[in-house]
Amino acid sequence: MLIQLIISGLALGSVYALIALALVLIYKGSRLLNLAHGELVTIGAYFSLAIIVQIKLPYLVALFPAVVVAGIFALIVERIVIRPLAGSEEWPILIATWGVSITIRGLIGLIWGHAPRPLPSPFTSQHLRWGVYSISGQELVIIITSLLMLLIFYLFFTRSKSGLGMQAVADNHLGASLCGISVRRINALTWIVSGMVAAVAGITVSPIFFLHVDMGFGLFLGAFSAAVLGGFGSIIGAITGGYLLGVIQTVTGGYMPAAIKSSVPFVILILVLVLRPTGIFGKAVIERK
Amino acid sequence: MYGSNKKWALYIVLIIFLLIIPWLMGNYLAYLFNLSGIYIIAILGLNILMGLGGQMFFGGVAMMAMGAYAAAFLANDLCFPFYISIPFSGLITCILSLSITFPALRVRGLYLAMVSVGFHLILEQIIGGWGSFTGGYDGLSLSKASLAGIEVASDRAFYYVVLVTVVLSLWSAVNLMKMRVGRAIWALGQDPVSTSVLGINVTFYKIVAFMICAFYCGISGGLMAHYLRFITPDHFTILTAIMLLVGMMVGGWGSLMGSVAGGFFVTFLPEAIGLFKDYFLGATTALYDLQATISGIIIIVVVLYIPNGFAEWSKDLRSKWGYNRSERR
Amino acid sequence: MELLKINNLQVYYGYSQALFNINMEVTEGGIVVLLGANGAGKSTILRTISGIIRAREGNIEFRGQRIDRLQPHKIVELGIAQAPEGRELFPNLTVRDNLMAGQYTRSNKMEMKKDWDQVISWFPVLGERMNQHAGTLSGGEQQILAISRAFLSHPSLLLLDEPSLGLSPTLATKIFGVVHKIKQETGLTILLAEQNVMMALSIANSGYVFELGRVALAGKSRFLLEDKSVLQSYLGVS
Repeated sequence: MLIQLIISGLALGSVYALIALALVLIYKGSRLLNLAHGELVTIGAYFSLAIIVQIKLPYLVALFPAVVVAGIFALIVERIVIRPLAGSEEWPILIATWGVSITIRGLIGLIWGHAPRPLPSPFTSQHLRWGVYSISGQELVIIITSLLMLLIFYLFFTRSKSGLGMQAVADNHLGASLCGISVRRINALTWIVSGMVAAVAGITVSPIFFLHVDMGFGLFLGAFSAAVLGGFGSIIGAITGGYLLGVIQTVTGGYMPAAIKSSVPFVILILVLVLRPTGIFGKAVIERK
Repeated sequence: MYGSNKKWALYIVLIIFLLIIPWLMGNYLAYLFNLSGIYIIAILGLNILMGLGGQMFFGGVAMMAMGAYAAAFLANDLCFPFYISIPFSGLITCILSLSITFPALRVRGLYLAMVSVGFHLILEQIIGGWGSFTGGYDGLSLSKASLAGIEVASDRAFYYVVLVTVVLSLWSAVNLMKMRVGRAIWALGQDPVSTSVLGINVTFYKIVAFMICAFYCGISGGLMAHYLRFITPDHFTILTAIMLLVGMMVGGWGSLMGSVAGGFFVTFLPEAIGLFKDYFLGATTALYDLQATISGIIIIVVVLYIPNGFAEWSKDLRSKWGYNRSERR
Repeated sequence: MELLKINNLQVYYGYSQALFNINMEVTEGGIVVLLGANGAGKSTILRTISGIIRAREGNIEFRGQRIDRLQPHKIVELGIAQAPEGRELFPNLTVRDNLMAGQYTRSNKMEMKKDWDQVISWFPVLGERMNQHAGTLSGGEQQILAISRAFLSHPSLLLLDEPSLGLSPTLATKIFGVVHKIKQETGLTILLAEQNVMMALSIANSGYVFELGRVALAGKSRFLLEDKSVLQSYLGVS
């Protein structure tokens, strides 16, 4: 039973890891917490729903255009709301992203309504069995897609020029400008990447968890807790925290009532903030001048 | 000499106007005014904690809920008259808010924001789940408020209650901010590190700021409970919290007088949206989502274009209570 | 045409004016030094040239093209690179990554490799510390890294803001030696802000002396070395 739970936990953890990664990316690049992040996840999932239902593409194929659209959507948000506020204090940007979050949620409610919808996927009904353990096809899809996504991201981040640009901007805006790196362009790129990664998470998890207007918030809270657990600001921390939280939450859910399970991310968040605010991999960020 | 006479004349006109307003309008408008007044008080508390004290605390509506249910309990179970139960509900809210104040001391900025939202959600769960005490999602009702045997239940009658409470709240807030407490809280909001270096006990004043906010929000909630005579968790949602935030921004972040504008904005905006929907969009559009969308857009617009809200307009009002906030770069 | 021409520049920090009516010309090739006490405006003018600060009035022309309204990264693309005060390195990235970031705007692989090898030959210590995080380097090593990074963007004009600041005399001499060497071997034009008057004037062709935000004195370095007021203010010689 425990192993079974851990396997499922890894699936949930993959989702958290991706969303947390996307969140921390934006934070590293522009020092802002994107409160609309959950909505990026939701939008990705709803886009894929629209593509599957309206254009009648199969699930896996629909993933690609949905992710691209989500990336563009993230870019639009960055352009309209974030960029004009570059250089502002914490407050205005935080509230502005919250405004974006509410607006998106309202729009989704207006367009799709409040009834939870499942995302049709051929994998939900399939199971892979191995001895006494089984894993649902969708969970397998989640894990594999996430690992692929993480790999692609790793290669992009460490090997490509834009990836280097992102690392540079995250470390020192001014230094990056002086190297000829356009901080604005990198920030836009960061949002696009973030939106795409978040969308993948949303699309892979929706067949199991159902699409609804507020799905983003719960996942955002989980991703945020995961990032804090792993050490907020650290990419490795975000990924590790994601997997850890997923496993902890699922295992807890196996032995405790459902209400407790959904509060695990929040409890972990409080525990970490109170006991070890820097998280697992957290280190004092070397101050930029 | 002429100037000060003019000023007094203006004040007297204002006071008379305020006193006779309810007789100039219909019941529904009076209802909206009362609701505005209630929100003004809550926004006042939030302005002190968030605007001046700089704490990113989004649990104001949760505090209102605490005040509302406390007032309901005092009125229903202990038969306190409203003018006793409301101040006490403020106090009870303060005590209950200690549960979030102490953890809040340890975190700042974004983390505090997350924690306070979590606080709100947990409280929502508690209220919804504790049916025996709070009536759960079905709500709780109160009997009519009465003052020395006379019923104070009509919108017009309650207007005076609200008016008195708002005036008292504003007056006490303005004076509080002029005292040492107020200056300490303002300093704390500007730069906690520098403030502590000056020998000001930052932790103590943080707690004070939280308590002030809790008191005002609690009173606001208690007032609401007695006025509406029926409260449910739906009165205290995250959307309400967002609306209060928007009200704060529109009225002027940290501006005590701006709270007045903010309170009216919070009440009249949903009405405006509702009217807009009725005239242009028809009944099939979900009001909640429309409100959410428009509120979100307004928040974005306000943050982008009017970050200082009505405070820009009321600069001379602000110099009256002593200090201006630092300039936006 | 002058490589760099600054016309009637007025620069403010918020409400206070930092630079008053600055006029400067830098011809191609050679080292121009900016002298002056702390707060005189040397760093300010360099930051304005690089686009970090925007001037309120006046303009800056690079090869005849106005650059004063451009974004910093665009100015790097045009060929002006700076090793700024504070170095502004990437502390959490390796030395290699820092250097590679310097080459961000370039595409010619052969030339990039040539410059890379050049830098390593000038500063072998960089080669030794390739995989170390820049934040762990010593002050002198960081300064070397900053200058190298700026050089690697293949600029026509190199701005160095107080490269010897905080370094031991030996190291400072070495840095000046390299700066001189860079100019000799590559013909790069260098604008050098320094407080170390003697050292700077010994390798410079000409200079500007800043005082309280204004250009107080300008001329060939030989002339400046002999000027009584310079000697008095900075060297305590009467």
